[in-house]
Amino acid sequence: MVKTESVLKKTDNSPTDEELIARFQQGDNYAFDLLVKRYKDPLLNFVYRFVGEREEAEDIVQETFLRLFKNKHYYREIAKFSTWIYTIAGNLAKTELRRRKRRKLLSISHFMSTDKDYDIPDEDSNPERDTNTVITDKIIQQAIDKLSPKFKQVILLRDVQGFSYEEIAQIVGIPLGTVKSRVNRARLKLQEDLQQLMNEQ
Amino acid sequence: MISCDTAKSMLSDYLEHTLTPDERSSVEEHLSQCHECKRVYDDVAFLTAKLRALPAIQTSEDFDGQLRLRISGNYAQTNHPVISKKGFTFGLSGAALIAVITFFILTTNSPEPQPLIQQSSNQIINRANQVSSPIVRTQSVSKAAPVEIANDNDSLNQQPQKVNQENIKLVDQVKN
Ligand SMILES: [Zn+2]
Repeated sequence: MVKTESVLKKTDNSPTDEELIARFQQGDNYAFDLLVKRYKDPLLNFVYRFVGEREEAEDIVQETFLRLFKNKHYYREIAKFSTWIYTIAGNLAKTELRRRKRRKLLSISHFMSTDKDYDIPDEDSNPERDTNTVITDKIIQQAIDKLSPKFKQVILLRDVQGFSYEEIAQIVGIPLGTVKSRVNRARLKLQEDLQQLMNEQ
Repeated sequence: MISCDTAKSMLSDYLEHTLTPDERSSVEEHLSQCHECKRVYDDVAFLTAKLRALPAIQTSEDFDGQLRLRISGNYAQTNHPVISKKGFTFGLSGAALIAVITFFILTTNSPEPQPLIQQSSNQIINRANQVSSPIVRTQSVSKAAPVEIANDNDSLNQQPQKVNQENIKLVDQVKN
């Protein structure tokens, strides 16, 4: 879970995101720095899982902050700052995916090699699983890569970033009921894709 | 008994405990009798936990320096080479950029020092430390950036963009 602390719990003295963006809109650029500091890593993780490439992800996060810097006056307090900035980043990521031609998949030997640190211990701790195969983060990322952008966006916001369904509805700009069913379908699709990837090994 | 499709459509709600007691027991009944849906449910439960626990990555050390370049570059392109407002200045000199980048490299928790940037003199570092708002408040550096620093770093100053790209590569090499 990489959601920012400010979103999860607000400590007494630290300004809220909304206070910071208000200060920034009034010309306080130090507030901009604080927002960057607060959001650069959470956004990077979101975009990284979205586009699957670190360098690209970092570039998109930079672009997100540039948009914030240039378009600060477009922000209105009706929305939470976090949903606003994630909307910008998500749209940039989707645009990038559209622009980019289909990435060639990593060879199986590539992700089979080593991923020891993140391996699921073994079947002892997962007695339900009918397979001994180790699921690595790389395989999970491959399965994520296979999702359509609209599934990808909601499952990353929900399961990786930890946003509520209401927040995701704001970010994606769709009704709450649609978010819920889309997250569910995305999970089922990810499960299917992952199973397929595992069987291909 | 509810159908497989119905059961699957309720899996997330079941997982997140947002069903009514009646709905909940209908899903439970289905899962107890349908091996296939039970397997899917176990997988989805496993997956969501796994997604939550994916290792987080961090922005590279010169992220803020890059961002500053991008912001100032953007303003340069839009015919506002120097925008002076309350306490900050765009349109930085090369020396100022290097100084600010240096400040950043040195003040972020860098496990691997960046050799390229560390060649900079202490003089620059001292001046850079006066900057209170590293990303956009660059006024003190701009004012301070004197000619002798520019001379010391002539080659760097000419292509700050290039220096930073090399720097990114270094960071990536370290991380991979
Ligand atoms: Zn079933």
